[in-house]
Amino acid sequence: MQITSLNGILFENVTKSFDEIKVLDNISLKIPPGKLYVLLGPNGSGKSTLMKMTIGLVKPDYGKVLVGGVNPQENQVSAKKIVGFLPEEPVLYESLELLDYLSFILNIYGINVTEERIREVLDFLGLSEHLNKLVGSLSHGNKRKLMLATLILRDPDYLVLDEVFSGLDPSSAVLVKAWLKEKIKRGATVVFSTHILSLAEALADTVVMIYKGKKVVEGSVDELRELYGKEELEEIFLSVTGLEREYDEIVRSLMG
Amino acid sequence: MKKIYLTLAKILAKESVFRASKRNIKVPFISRDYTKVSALSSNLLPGIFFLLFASVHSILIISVTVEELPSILLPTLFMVAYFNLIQMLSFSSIFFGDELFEPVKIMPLNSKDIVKTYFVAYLLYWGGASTIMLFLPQFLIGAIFRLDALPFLIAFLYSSVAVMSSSILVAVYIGTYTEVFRKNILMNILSAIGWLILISSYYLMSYIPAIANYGKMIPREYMSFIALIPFIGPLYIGLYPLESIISIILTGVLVYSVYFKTYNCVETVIAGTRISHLPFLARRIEERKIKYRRLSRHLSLVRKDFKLILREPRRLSGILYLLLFPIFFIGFRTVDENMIFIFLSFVGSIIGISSTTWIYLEGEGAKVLYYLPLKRTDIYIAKILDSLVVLFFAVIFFVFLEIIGFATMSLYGIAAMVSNFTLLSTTTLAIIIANLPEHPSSWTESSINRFAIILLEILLTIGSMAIPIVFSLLYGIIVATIASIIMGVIGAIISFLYVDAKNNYLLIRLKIVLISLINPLCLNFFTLSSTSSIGISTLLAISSIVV
Repeated sequence: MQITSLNGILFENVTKSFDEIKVLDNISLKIPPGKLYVLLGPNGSGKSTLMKMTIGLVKPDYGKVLVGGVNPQENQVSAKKIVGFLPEEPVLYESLELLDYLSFILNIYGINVTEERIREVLDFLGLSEHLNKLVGSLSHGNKRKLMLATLILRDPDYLVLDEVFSGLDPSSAVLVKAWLKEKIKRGATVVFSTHILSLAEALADTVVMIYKGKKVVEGSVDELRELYGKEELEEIFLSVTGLEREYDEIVRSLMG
Repeated sequence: MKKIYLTLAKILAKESVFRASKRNIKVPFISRDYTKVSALSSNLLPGIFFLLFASVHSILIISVTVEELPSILLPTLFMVAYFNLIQMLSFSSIFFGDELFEPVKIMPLNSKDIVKTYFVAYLLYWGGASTIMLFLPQFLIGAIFRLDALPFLIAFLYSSVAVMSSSILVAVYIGTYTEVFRKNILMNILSAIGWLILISSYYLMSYIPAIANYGKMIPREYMSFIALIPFIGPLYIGLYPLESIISIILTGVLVYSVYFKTYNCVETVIAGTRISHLPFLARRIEERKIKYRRLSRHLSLVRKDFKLILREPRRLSGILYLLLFPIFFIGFRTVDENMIFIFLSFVGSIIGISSTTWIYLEGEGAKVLYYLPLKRTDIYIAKILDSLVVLFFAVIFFVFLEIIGFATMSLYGIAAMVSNFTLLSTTTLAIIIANLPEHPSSWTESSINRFAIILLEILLTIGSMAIPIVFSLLYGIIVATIASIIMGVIGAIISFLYVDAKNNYLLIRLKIVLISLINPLCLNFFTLSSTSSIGISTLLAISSIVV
């Protein structure tokens, strides 16, 4: 794969080990602008590690990562400026009030937004009634929404979202889906991981399945259905990873 | 059921000790090794300590007259209150701050049982019960040797138990509310004062003998009024029986009220009532207007730090302590100029060293910084700005002391204070920030090599003090001030370069230049001629640039 694109996100032969355990094994991916990629894989498969590389939080042992032509390993600050990254667990200052936290983040990114726009986004996510509250007193879902609010206000061209729908109520999930679709239309590059396969089916231009640090399959949902002759993504995943038989045995033993 | 209580209390106490060590909260007498928590070990050591305290007073009981007994027993009440307040405050702030009751809530126990477990954990495993040793020996020795003073002693026992209970309950109330209701400014201030007492305990302990003296100095005609004061009044039972009985009743009512209020508060929190549903807080919530003001990233970081510290009473008390430091300066009015100069330099060093508070303040929130487009230098600058605010207020306070005539100021001293502050704050902050974990982590005292940092702080303080002391004594204050300023400026430049480039060659060169600059003065001091010392310095400076 030639690294030529200055837009999009590129992973080229990325390999990473922690304590001699290989968590990413020679992964290559090219995510063009205006496309949405969904990463699927069980816990510990390496999805989060791969995504953290887009802002330089994890450096590959081998291989290269480029985001919009920026190498996050060499220029972490620039990468963080252009990428809207959502970590899996809420990472927030719990002793700040919601609005103070939001102002802090926007100031760090040097974002100019009107107060009306902030109100609009908070209303959109149902956070307006929590303005006075300390971040620490918000529910898990509202903490996630607050992090999403900062991303929406920043409006970056690259979105890397780890378990973006985790903890969101159905109505918020619908709104976030609509927002993501709009971002794609406007040419943003989006990659997110999820365990909710129906969401992957509904949103993904391309699905990438990662298992034990290796990319096991990449393609659109229709392509995968055709290739594996199965309707559900879940079935395709179990089939390509060879977990189908193993899971059957586990379920049988659980049931006695 | 009894066994479940004890087991659960022990687990909670172990967990609290573990969390305390993580948050670097020092608890008197409690082992930092959480695996060693036991009812015996938690109470034995403080028990012995308190016994030693109490035994001194116990001996006095044997020899004094009945009239003198209240003033002898009074300091004990103070100590009982003091120790229970600080012990329980630390316990409750961890217990509620870290929501240790959360896992217990899902167990088949009702909220009353959980509250009881919480108090058992404090009394048995956090050293709470050991404070009995402050008053029990006095009571027993008095009961054996002073049968004539038995009413006094019984009243003393009553007062001691009342003081112990109410101080525990007040600490619980403060600890619970400040941790759970962090938005309540009044509670944050009260808690900060509590922590301030804790960190200045050594100074306060020295005032205990004075309390006994004050007791003796009170004119007889006012004694009857003192006998009416709750908690203290019962001690005067043999002298003013009527007033004392009123005080006993008042004490009982007060203890019950505090108990009632605190128990309800703890139960409300533990039972999981939604905080916003509590009536007094619900009243406070009002529609907030959205206001967004653009700030530079450094100012935004500073603003965030001050917002955080106002909700961290323990850290806030550390900063307040620095501002109160000049109080010890009051007695320096008649001391010579050199001493004032050296003392002010020392104050600068202490405030500079304490800049690290701003790093540890981040705690778990530090993880946020890893996801933001910030260089370590940005964080470094913000932390220095934080410390500068503290320095500014300390200087203002000094000037205020000068204006009201409490202290003699020295402009040179202030310059040395600022220089020493600059040297120490920039150096310690640079070293710590440059060595913080690479991956998202919380920043607390336990995130870094604490021993190395303490050693570094001691060495830097000694090093920074050597200049004002040696130079002021040998060359006079003006030279010492100039030397301090040069050290401060060079230290700041080197540290600034160090934060983002630990092994920069430029840094090594600058170090040599620094040595070269100080060299003429030092070599001169060691009786080498000025010409040769300047020659060696120049050689060093050139070689550093060439290399």
